[in-house]
Amino acid sequence: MRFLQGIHRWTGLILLIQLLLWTISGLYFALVDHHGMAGQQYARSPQPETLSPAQLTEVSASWWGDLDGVTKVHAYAQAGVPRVDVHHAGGVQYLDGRDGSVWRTSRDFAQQLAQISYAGPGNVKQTTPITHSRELHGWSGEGFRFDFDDDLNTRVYVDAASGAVVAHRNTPWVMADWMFRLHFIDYTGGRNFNNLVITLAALITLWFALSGLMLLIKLISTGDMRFSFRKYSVTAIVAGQPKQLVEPAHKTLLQALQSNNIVTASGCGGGGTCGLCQVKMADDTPISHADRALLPSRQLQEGYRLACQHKVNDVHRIEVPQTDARHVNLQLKSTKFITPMLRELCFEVLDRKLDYAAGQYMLFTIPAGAGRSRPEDIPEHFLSQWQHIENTEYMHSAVQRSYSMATAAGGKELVFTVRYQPQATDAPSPGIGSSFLCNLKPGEIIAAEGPFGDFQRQPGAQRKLCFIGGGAGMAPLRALMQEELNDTASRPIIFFYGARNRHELLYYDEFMQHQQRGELTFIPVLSKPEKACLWQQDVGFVHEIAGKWLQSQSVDAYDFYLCGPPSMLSATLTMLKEHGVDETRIRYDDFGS
Amino acid sequence: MQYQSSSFRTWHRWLSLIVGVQMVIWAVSGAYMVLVQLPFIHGVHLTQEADGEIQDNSLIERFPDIVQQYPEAEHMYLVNRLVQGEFRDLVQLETDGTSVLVDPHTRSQIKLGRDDIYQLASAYYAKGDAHIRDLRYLDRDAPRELNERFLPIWQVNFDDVGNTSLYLHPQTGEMMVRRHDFWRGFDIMWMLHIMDYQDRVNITTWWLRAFIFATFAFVFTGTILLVQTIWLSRRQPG
Repeated sequence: MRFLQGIHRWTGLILLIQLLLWTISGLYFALVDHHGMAGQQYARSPQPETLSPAQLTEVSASWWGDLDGVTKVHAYAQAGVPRVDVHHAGGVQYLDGRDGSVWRTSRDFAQQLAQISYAGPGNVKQTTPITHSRELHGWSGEGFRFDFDDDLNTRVYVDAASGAVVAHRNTPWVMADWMFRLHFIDYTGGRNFNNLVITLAALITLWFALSGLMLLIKLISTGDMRFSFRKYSVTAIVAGQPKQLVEPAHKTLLQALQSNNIVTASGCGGGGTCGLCQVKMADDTPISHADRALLPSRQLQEGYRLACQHKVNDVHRIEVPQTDARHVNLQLKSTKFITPMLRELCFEVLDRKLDYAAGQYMLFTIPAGAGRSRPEDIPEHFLSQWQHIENTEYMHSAVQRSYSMATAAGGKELVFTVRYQPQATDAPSPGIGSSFLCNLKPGEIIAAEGPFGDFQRQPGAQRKLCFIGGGAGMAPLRALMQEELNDTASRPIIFFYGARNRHELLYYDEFMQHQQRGELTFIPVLSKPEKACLWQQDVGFVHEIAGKWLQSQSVDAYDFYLCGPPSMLSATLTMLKEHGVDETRIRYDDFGS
Repeated sequence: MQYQSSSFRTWHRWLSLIVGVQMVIWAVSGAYMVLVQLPFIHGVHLTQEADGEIQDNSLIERFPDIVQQYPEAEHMYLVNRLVQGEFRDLVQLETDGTSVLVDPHTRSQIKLGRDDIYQLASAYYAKGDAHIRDLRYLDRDAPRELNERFLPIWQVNFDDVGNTSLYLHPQTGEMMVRRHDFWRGFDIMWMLHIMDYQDRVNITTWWLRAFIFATFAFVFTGTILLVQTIWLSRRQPG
């Protein structure tokens, strides 16, 4: 669908002017008709003249004795003058039938012929000898142009060699001639519609029209062309306030929102190509191709869909996100490895300040280009983990990747932790987004938009907060905890954090300090500790350790915030379910899929 | 950023249902007419000159005698034509749109028979050996591909790739009209292009005009959408 739309758009752009010219000239033809275009308004055929024996008595074969290959001899009378045309191998010889001399049309005789062919109200006002004319394509030689003083500015062209009236031309003819130039894209005046330019234009038009037809067939088959007077009601939650939209069933949600003056971003006007008109609906709403192509799976799971892709009668309730999401340019301030495979990146927001809630994320636009598998600045003490990763280059297309902010709002900078994704055995390249960001140098600028996401703290002064995270899932959890600790009345926090080994324990020292200050309880868990780790604390999977702890707790006292790799996340969710934790008490951010 | 463009898209879609289909027809028929060269359509390659060189130039001196016998003659031609199995110098007379062949020696008219037409048609035919399927003398009910004013006429049908038909003048044997399947295809395309499904000549029907006006609206709404999607839309990769 998008491929067809792409073809349709770009061929349409190329053809735009010509389509208009075809339509204009076509309309002209349809309004004016053949008779108005041929220049024959004041033309008539000459009266037939019979031959007389007297005229023919002088005719002699000796006249064309030196002509080869004579195939036809034509005797006729023209304005009372006997004429003989001899068709031979080299062309046509025009002879004077009175004496066999080569025919010459005098100016007076030419004018007589012009007047015989003319039926209009005018008289000859000007005679011009000519050798060629822009109005006579393909004609050259000697001849005359006779201008008549009539309302159409008729001119009659006479060829001197043959004495033939070549053509009548007038103002409507000139107009029509221009229309033919436009319609045939032949500006030589030759009216050749087999020329190269129109051939090319015709082929593009064929693509254009057929892609349009296929789009139309698709629209009809998907039911997008339905028309209905039956109205449906949809509840739209706008800024927390419910609003009833009552619209015909065939309208899209975007149309319904727009006609109810609910501000909804749209860049393509409902074409399903810009991805701006996101609204939230039931998360089991079918996902359209455009939804899939334009929205990150994380948003799809949360129930976000494109309003232009869903009809009023397909849903009952939608949430129009009051996003402050906007496009920003981010300039990299600093970047450093904080584990062997993970970097911390600090960006400064150019232009205006960006507000966000802890737990939200930004969508980075990774431009198409060449990627490199290894960053240049791997610290020496991490090199051993990188030794098996070869330095390769690869091409990649533009993609969007989302990363959660790793700090609470308030600082000048946006901080992200980006985990490097090495090339999997069956993958064409290493992770495009992570490699790009890991190779980004201070000072460079990247486009992003946001903030997005509703992985945010839940209210409730009596609630305790339990965070369970793993690996790169640290980022949003850390932001949420910072935000909580920034509150004047911060609530009790316990934080289970899993990693494979000591190297990969993110921000370990920072959380140990929080713990020493009594701000939270930090329980790091290693799943594969190495000897060098000198690890004295918990070993195992983080959800197991958290589950053990939970047995001695009253589960109802806690809100749970989860973030981590998919396997850890699903194991943790299962564990919480087994402990009878209410679903509404669990928030999680699934960044893995 | 908000564009009230949905209405343009709706209009464009509904117009496409009516005008769009005709636009596809215009594009397809136009492409056919543009891609297939016009001289080929006209069948220039199908035929060649079939008259021979004039053997006896002095026959021209018999013109006055012939005119005396046919005083209505407006045009007189001396030609060398294949008649009764041999190339003969003959005189062709034309009066008010009718033509006859005359033997310059006897001044009597020459009637062409079926065999003459067969031989002339084979001589005109330029695509190798002529396999003539059938010959028909048409004196009323012109086929769709032939203008009525040519009647009566001989229709000579060839058994070849393009189903060539040559139309020969019954009195003079001149080749008047050439037709083959590419011409017939062109004629259908032309019919579709001008939307005159009856006679294929009228380019001023009200429905053609109406479709053209609707096309303006179609192009207009499409242009608006184009401007919005190409220049104003966020380019987002998938």
